[in-house]
Amino acid sequence: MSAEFKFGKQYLINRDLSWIDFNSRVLDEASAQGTPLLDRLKFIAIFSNNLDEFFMVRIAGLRKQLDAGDKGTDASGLPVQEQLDRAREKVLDLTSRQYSLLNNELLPALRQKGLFLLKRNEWDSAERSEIGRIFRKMIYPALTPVAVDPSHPFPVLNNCAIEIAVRLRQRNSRKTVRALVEVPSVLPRFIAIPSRRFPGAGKVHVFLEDIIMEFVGELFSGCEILDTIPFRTTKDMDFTIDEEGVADLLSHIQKELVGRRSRHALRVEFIKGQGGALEKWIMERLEIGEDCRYVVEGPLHLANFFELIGKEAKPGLVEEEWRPLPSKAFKEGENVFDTIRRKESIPLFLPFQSFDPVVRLIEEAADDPSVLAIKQTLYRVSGNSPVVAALRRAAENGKQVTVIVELKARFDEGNNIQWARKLEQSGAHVIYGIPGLKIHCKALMVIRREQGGIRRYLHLSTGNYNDKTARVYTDIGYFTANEDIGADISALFNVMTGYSSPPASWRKIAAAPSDLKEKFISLIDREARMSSPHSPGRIIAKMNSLVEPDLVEHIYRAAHAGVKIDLVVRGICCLRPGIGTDNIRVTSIVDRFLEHSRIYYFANGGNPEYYLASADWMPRNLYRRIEIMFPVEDGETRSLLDQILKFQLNDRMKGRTLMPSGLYTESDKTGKYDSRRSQKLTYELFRRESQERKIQAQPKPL
Amino acid sequence: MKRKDRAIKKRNGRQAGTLAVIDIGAHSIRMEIAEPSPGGGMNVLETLSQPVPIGNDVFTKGRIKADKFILVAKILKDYRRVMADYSVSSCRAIATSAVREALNKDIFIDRMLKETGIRVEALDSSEEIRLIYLSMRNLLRGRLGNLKNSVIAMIGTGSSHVCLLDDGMLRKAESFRMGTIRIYEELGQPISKSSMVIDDIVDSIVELLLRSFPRLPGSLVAVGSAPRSLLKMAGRDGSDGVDTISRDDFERISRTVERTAPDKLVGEYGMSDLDALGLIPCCEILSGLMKASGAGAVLIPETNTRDAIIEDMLRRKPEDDPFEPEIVSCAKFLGEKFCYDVKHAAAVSKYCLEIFDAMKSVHGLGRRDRLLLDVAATLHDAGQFLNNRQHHKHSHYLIRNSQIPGLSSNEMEIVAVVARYHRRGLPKTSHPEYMQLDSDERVKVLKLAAILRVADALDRSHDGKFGSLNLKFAEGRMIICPDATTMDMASETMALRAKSDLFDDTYGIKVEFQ
Repeated sequence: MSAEFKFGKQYLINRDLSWIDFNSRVLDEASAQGTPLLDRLKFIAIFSNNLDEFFMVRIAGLRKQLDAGDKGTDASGLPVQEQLDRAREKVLDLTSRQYSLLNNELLPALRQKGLFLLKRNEWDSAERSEIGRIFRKMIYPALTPVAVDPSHPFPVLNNCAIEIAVRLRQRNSRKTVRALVEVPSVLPRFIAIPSRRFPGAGKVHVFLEDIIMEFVGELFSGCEILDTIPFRTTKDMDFTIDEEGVADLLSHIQKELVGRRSRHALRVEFIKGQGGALEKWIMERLEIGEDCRYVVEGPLHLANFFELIGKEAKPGLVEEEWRPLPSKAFKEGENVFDTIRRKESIPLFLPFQSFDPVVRLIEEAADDPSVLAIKQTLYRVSGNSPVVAALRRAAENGKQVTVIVELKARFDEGNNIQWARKLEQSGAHVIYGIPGLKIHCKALMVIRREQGGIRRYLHLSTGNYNDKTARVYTDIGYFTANEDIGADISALFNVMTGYSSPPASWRKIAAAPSDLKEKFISLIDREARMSSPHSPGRIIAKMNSLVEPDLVEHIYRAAHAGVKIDLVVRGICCLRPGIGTDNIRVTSIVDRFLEHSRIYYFANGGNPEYYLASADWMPRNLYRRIEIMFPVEDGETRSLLDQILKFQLNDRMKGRTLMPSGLYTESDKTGKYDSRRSQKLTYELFRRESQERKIQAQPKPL
Repeated sequence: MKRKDRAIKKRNGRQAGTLAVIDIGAHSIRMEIAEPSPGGGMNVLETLSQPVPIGNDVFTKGRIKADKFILVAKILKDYRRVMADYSVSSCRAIATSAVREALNKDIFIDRMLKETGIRVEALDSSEEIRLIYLSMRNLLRGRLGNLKNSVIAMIGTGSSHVCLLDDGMLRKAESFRMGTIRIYEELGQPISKSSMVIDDIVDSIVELLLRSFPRLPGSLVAVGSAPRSLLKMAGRDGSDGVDTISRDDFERISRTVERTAPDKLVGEYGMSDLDALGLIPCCEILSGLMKASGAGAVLIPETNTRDAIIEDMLRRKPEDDPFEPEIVSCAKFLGEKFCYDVKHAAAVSKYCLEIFDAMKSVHGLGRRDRLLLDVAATLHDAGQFLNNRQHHKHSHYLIRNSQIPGLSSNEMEIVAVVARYHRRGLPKTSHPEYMQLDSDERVKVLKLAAILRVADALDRSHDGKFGSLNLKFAEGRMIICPDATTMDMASETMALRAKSDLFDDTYGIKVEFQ
């Protein structure tokens, strides 16, 4: 270790600015020429969706800090006001890039392909009358105009909804009145109109808010419409619960959800050139400053483009589907428990491979007479989840089903409460989290009585038990019947259910908040100790975000000791590489699937250790959540992890490298390096594997 | 038929599937779920632990408070769920020092049964000693060689026991209402101010031991979770199940314990808060014993009561108590304390057992009762220590107020009453010591005392003259045909005539010499 190394703020990058840079990489994907148009459009939508969340949580947090008079700086040395200023600057820059991409590149290119999105001034009279018909039949009944005058105060606006502000005058009066009409989120944002104007298309799409603005007069009979503008507010949606004082977490969150509507606005978006009196009026009524006002090219709320993509996806406009491949380990007709026991451990690489084996494990457990109990953590589960259905059946079949539900999953609380109730009705024992800690680890345990005694089957994962995200997030699941891991996970369940204090030590796993951070530090430090000029140490850590300054420091110390370190960090990376050492390389991969798995590799002097985890290197993962990291000890999985990491480190198409300046290199937009695109290579790897299996499985001709 | 099968299954641990043991200690409640492993022994599936300061209530106020009733019931209900996960077929829930001493013990046990369906059993300290000793011996099997003579300190949070091992046999066990956490609770003082008092308490314990055992054995064994934490501090992983800390290391660790705040110890050595807090008293006790015994090291086995209970549950026949020889050994030590006639006691005990075994089909009593008879025979004349007049009554008093590890207080009561009737008047309904027993126990006392009286008569001359009694049975008579017929049996014949009354009454069998 070099003597002069002294850790300080110069090694760090502000986390929120780093996050915006991540979103910038997302936006970057919208400009990749080699990518089909609707996929590019999808990145426009993802960018907006991400940005909305960023305002609701992060900007909200910074504002609160500011309001509380926080004069301090973050770990990288920036005061709060400066963080806000720089964030605004970056956001303005990125959104203008986003709208320019959308309006000048993507929408015109889509027209070329026959997908027409008409603005209000482009409608012809035939279209207008058809739109009018649709307005009266479908839209009008869903509208609720609200007049605002001294006796009717400015209403509470829904977060992220598009509102239309209207200035109008009664025909026999000189007085102007203002009103608001919310664009209902229950209606489609894009309405298809039959049209013969563009040969081959047969239809055009128009925006819902355009229709409402066009016919808004019909809502106010006897009035003259002077002016209409659309706008949209984003509010503070972050809430921290003082859980110590909450007896019933469930009912508390239900109340909290209702209370959210009245939160403070943090951002209001207007469309350029439409301003005027109404805009000023809205700003005054919302009581927010200029620094919260964002003027965009239009249209608003680009996250809604997901809807259009869903409707119009067809070959040529979207990249061909990479169908989830069946895992070769699981065979039709073989009991899933026999399979796991025979192989001891089986990895599952989502979304390249199908999520089915997980559902199959629960389904078979539900009907297996030898199964005594099923325990599972659930967090962000999709509405009609087959996982929940299987658990319900198991409970109804008399199995002991324990489900630990994390109600604190951000923005998903309402959804979580619904299916949690359903599970309870089926007789499952549902436990709603632990005060003060968010349960973020993903574990499923099936307890089975077998000939040789009790055996525990586990599925641990880097991602959620959500069949929907299992098709978009790259996660790694791990089935195992390993006894030591089984003992650890049952102890962990006893902690999560509140039945026991944590054990003094774990056999195989590491867990947050008890010892995960210490484990990471000891693994990094060991690598540094063992590193020599002849055989330098090696660390590859793949995660979503790297924020924790203590780990940045230890990584830097290891780098100074000669350890070659590769960090594959998709999102926020607060480590600024390249200061006094070239041993740290940071890569970020943003591609069609959201990189989500956490893989940690330590060379350990030729006796390498591989770990999978639910945790990133973020304070919230290490201190305020229950997380696990578990070792991968079977050769087959290790060699797969090796290959995937190799693909990622060599990805010159979708991989970007973080430079000491804090900027990222750009991805390859031309498709020149398509042969090094890691997600595609990974998919190909599993496709070959499943084809081999097919060939093997073919019966011999008689 | 089916019912019988089930009963057998329940008794026969090996077929019983998964087992659960709950241990309600003075400061925490723990549960272990285990199953017999195919290769013998057991496989622990789950270990749960929750801190609950029942001891605090009991040691300061004498009773368990209402909020702890609720808390314990909640934990037991949680544990039931985990038991259901493994479809546990038999469960034993025991409570040690705190519940044992609580004035409202019975109502506590009743409430737990009503609310959770779990029958909590308050363990006598002698039973606790037995369990700890057995699990320790199991672990140390083969390594006991140089521990043939040793002091064993069982250090708990609410109570402690010190046992002395003499020539490989347990000789004495003393229980103290003193534990590593209890000491603070009773003192009600901050840790820093407690050390002087702890010193004094430890001194008095050591003194007491030295009084009955002037030369303490030279090796020291410490059992309990606080001693196990010492292993952590010594950097031993205890993976072998047992480890030794040398005197020098021990002294070094003691100094660290003295100097370091308990919360620091928790972080540094990964021990529980309770163990960290209990380390100061634990070190004091061990260092006192080390000085008194001159031991050069302390041996710390990784055992706990729960393992011992599971082993007990897994044992094929519950009456096969591997602890029996220790009970007999301790009974003899107790006899020595009361200056008993070794030869006479041995002879009476031998005759008793011979008669007992020969009469098996008649009295229908079991192995455990044979042991009680053995102990009663060993100690029947203990009362002579006070006064020869009415010595049978003194024996009764001394026995019922002594402790023999492995015998419950109820069993001690039976032993005492059997000894009380070894001479003079027969049991009467006006005798309170007899009437306080339930009817089954009274019958047992009659059967055992009848044998004891005959055996005592057969050694009237206190010289153990008969090698074997060569008992024969014929037409309502038990005929004694001693192997040596030439000797003088006049006094025995006379005594037998006087003391076979109860035997005749109880069994309807007359006793005579050939």
